[in-house]
Amino acid sequence: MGEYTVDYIIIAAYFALIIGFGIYQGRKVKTSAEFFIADKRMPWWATAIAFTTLVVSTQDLISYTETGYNVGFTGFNPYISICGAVFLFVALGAPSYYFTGVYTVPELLQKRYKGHTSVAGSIALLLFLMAILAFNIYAFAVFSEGLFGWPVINTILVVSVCIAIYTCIGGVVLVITVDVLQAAFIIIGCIIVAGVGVHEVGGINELVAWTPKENMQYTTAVNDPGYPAIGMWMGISIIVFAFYMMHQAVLQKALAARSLNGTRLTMMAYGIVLLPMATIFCCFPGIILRALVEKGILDAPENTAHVLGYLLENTIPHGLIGIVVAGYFAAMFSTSDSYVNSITTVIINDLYRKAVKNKPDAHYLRLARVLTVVVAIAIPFVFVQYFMGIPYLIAAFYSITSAVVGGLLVAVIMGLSTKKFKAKAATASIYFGIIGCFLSIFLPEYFLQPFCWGIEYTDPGASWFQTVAGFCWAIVAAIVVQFFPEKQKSELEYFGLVRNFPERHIGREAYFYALTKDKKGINDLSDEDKEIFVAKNEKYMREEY
Amino acid sequence: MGAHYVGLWLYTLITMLPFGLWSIYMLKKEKWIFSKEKNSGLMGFFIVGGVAYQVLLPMYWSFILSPQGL
Repeated sequence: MGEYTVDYIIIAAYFALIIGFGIYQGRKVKTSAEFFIADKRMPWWATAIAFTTLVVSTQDLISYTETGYNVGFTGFNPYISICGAVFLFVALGAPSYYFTGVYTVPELLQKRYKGHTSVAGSIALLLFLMAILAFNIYAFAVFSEGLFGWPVINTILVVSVCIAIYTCIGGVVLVITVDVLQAAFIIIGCIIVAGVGVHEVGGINELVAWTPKENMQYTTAVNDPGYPAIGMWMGISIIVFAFYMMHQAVLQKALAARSLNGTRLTMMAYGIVLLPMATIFCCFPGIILRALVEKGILDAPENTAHVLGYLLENTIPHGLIGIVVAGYFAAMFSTSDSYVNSITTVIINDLYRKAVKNKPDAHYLRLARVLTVVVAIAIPFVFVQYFMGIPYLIAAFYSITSAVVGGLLVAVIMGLSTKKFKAKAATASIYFGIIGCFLSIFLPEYFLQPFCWGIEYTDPGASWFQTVAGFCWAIVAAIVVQFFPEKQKSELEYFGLVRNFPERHIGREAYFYALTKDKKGINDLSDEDKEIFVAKNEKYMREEY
Repeated sequence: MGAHYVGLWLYTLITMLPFGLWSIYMLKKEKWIFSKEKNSGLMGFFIVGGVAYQVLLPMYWSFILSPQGL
């Protein structure tokens, strides 16, 4: 028997439990609405927990362990200190998404802007989601290589097949239901690592005493070559805002709540309570390992990408390793299946349904399941060579996901805020955001260096500024193109899609009325019905303001 | 290092406080916090508590803990 045999048995048993539960739950999914957004029937606390398991993914556990080892608490402070995006979603995004009944961001863009903006948004969103899905599986494969010695490519293949099986059976209902179960495994795994690790160091006081002082500060230095302060804070700000305002997997989880208030509660509970806890869980193993190394209990790891596996191998007893790894599997599964589902949703709802219309719902559901298998297996292999060429895991993650975030964020926020923001400006911001970021990747000496504040473009931390570069290109393009002439749309076409049009009480009334008319949302009402509610809204606004 | 921390705290305020205060204003106006709506008390707690913690945490860490070397 090998040293990891007991752990392998525990991991295999976990797989059997999850897949078996998935098959059992999946029999209940009958419609595409249930497949895509759980048909708005989940309690807010379940969606909040499912949301947390989306964010506490393997990529965070592994890449932030590396970050925690290198720079300590400074690595996670941006995540617990920038919750403005949650408030923005609660006040601006949630009502529009909920009352219009959209399933995806491109669908929102289609209703708000019409024309080519939705296609641009679909392309950007698909790149973003595919990159995150691929990185999530890649990060777990790197962790498995460090701990068990499994080849990265083999791990990716096995994991992809498992994700394909279980996601294609049940869609979002399964994802959310099992996420609650998997949250338990993640928390148990994190508690074991934290508890055993702190015990090995000698207690919390010893942990604090042996953590380098620079790792206990609120932020890194401006000229830190791997984690430059300005790049980290600005890059993470943009990613966080994009995450909460336009991230497909986020919307699918949040909009699965039973009511608008449930959606808002989900986000608030997540942003204020669960996210800080999750972030601490992610960085803590790295901080523990650094203290063990500084104290002389362990040697420094050769490869910082393997720090989590190195910590488990040297501190956690066999058997418990199996439970902890099952927890990390849970994290990887719960995030990956969400992304697979989101990618499938965007392709079917925003691209395929426009080309192939008026098919029965069973046709789209069948296609969604086939596409789930293809996406889950093919996408990781498309990106793996790119990721292997970047030294820090977190740098690899930000360098590609930042490629699309900036322009789409501008299009969504400005579109929801004001009727005056034009479709051409939105389209330009999306495309120039992507162009700007890819220029910064492939020609960094010209297109990345100007944004690198405090470091050089050749430093490993320069990838943090790619997000900033893409965002700046998007802003400039939006401002310039906003001055181009564009045909005016009817006021009624903005109904439900712009802040305070209608005000929320009127919007709620219109939403329930739309449901009685078998409409998805208030923007789908007839013009006559919209005029009635617009008149009510104007009367309300006159009386209140 | 001092100016860098002040700048960072101001940056955190700018990216968080306007949205937080706007959320409180909007939800109060809509009567969805501190009213008789279901879960309005919980929602109010989250939003006001969240804004307060977002202001105080960076300030506490930057200006009190860090200068003491934690």
